[in-house]
Amino acid sequence: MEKVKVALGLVIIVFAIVMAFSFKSSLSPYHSVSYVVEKGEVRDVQVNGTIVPNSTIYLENNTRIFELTDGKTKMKVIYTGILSNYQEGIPAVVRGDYYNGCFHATEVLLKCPSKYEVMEKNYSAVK
Amino acid sequence: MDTGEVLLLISLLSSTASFFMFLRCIKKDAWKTAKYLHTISTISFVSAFFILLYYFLVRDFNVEYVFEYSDIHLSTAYTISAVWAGRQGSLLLWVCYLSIFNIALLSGKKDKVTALSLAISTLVSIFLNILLITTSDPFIRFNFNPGNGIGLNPLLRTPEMIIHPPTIFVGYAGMTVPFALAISGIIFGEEWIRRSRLYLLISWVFLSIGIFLGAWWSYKTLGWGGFWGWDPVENASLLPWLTASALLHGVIVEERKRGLKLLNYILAILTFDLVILATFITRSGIISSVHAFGQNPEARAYFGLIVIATLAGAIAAFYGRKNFSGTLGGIREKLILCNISILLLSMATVLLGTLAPLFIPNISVGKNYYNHLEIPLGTALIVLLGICAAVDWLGRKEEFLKKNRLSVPAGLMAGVAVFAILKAVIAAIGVAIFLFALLNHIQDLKGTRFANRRKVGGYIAHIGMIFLFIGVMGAWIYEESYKPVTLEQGKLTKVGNFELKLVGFNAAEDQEKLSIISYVEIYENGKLQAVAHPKMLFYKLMRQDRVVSSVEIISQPLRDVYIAMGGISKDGTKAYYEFYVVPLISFVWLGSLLIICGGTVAALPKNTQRAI
Repeated sequence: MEKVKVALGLVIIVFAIVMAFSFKSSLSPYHSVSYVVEKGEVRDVQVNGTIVPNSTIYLENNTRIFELTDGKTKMKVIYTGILSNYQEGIPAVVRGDYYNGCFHATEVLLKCPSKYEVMEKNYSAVK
Repeated sequence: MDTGEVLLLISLLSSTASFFMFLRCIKKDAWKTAKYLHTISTISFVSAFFILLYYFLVRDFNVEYVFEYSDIHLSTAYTISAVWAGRQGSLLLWVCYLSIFNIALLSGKKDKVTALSLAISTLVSIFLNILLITTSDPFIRFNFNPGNGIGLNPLLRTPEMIIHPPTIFVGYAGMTVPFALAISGIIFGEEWIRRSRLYLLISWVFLSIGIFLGAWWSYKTLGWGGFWGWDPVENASLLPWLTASALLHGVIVEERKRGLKLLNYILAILTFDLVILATFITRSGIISSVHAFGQNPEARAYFGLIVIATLAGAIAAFYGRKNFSGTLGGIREKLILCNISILLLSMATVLLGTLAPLFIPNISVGKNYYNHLEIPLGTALIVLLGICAAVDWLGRKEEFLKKNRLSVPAGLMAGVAVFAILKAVIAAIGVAIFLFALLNHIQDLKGTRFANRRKVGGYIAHIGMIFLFIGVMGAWIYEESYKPVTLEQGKLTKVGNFELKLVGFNAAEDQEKLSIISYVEIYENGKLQAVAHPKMLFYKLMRQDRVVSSVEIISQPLRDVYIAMGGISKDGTKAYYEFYVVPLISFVWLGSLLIICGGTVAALPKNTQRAI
């Protein structure tokens, strides 16, 4: 039994070390819109903010341009692809490159529909 | 004050009274009064739930919660499901389930262990009840009548989402019972494992069904990262499932009087803690917004409950520490301990990734973190399952070798064959492990009678895991995705090994929505495979998220072809799509169903064994 315990202990320690390294290497920071705009040019970053209401322009080829804000600064985001359940005024995370005054997103993440807070906040502004 | 609020107040009063009566039952016979009080509180909870349902059905938009989650066009089925679409309604459902579980506990053996357990689980229900009349009151009314509601989020309008929350909450509520029994059992030095087993198993089955439905929904919903995206909400439900699975195995060892008593006790407490964490995460979205954590009064309440439950567990364990003695017996027990360790490491990995954004502000944890750790853990688990199935309780060497004489060469040969055909190393290793583990289970199962339904059930669930493993490997490692894909009407477009042709469009309208349906022919090697109808749905709602891409999935035994439509060009000659080929996804569903079946078989009552 003692041998099993020692072996298990060792495996767990090794796993914990691997876990710590893997964890550290997979962390990626969220940048704010202000930070990205101030830098002028950044590559492969993720930025979180809120989609500015009434800012979306739909272009041909399934492309849309919208504005993302952190409350201080706004930036234009251009994205080609399907966004099911898209709406303005909700938090979103965009991933991609910022250059020439525009964020070229390769990925846009909208928040989960089962996270109910968003909806409540939305209309509490009107209430 | 609304009738619903009055009922919630009655339930609070009667629950509090019944809590004290249950405490009294430890020493004296006060069962009749306790039962009476508990019945009143259960009836109040259930009535409050039905009153909320009634408000939804009569479309009383004066009630804020009804206004938020339904509208006049919503069909009856979705109107019913809207009751548990939000935080308040689902909490009410949770507490109804808990009351019903407590009734089941009340109908069993009436001794001090049951009495204290009921007192503990009544405390949990009092806690939720307080939330229901303060921060999560579903019966708050406006001082005007809006006439129509915001409507249910279109993404939640699927059959899976009607039943996903109510099944998951059965699992959550049910896990309270083993927790309460464990603490009482340890304090009084009586066994709690046998008493909790059925509650644990039923809750585990419901949790499994809930997770499966969630995964199925996520797969069919575009932009959700397939059936499992390591989203905090998905992770939240997986955490208690992992510890409950570990506990189910620890129970087997302890029942044979071979130790793991302390570990099982810790697992019961931990599962409950994780259930509370999960309730909180799914209902509040707290993980996605760090700022909300400090502001949300419920955050502190839930955190407090977790701390109290853990402390109570620790104190009870200290008090009853002499009851943990026992030694771990044979080789199979040790192997089970290894399996439990894997499940716990897996839980720790997911927990760290899920909670990290709370402690390190402004970061996200990439999916790679989970994939790099969970895939090796899963693989190790399947290998161990295979070994375990070949080892019997006596640990006989010749039996072990006999089974492996078939499974090891068969697995190796299959691996080599896959490598020769596909030239894919991971697929080859995966298939080898899959066949090895599967064959050992089948060989051991061959001589087992169905009457031994615990073993049969367990093995069905294991075989489910083995299929899930190979399915996950296929879908995650070998998925092909093509986006964006632009198709022109009447023209063949090459996408991967396929050719797609947009034939035309059609429109349809019902009460809820307008649909634009596209007809896409899918060719492979010049042969027509299928005609898909991906749609765009425009819900008649005054909300911006009313446009939804509805995907079409062509399922074949060894792969799915998955296509979603995202828009049409102005002149209507072109349309935009996303196209995926997902290998072995059917094995994921088959595996999940087998896991659920296995759990159900193991939970079947004993006296049915002769009939089969």
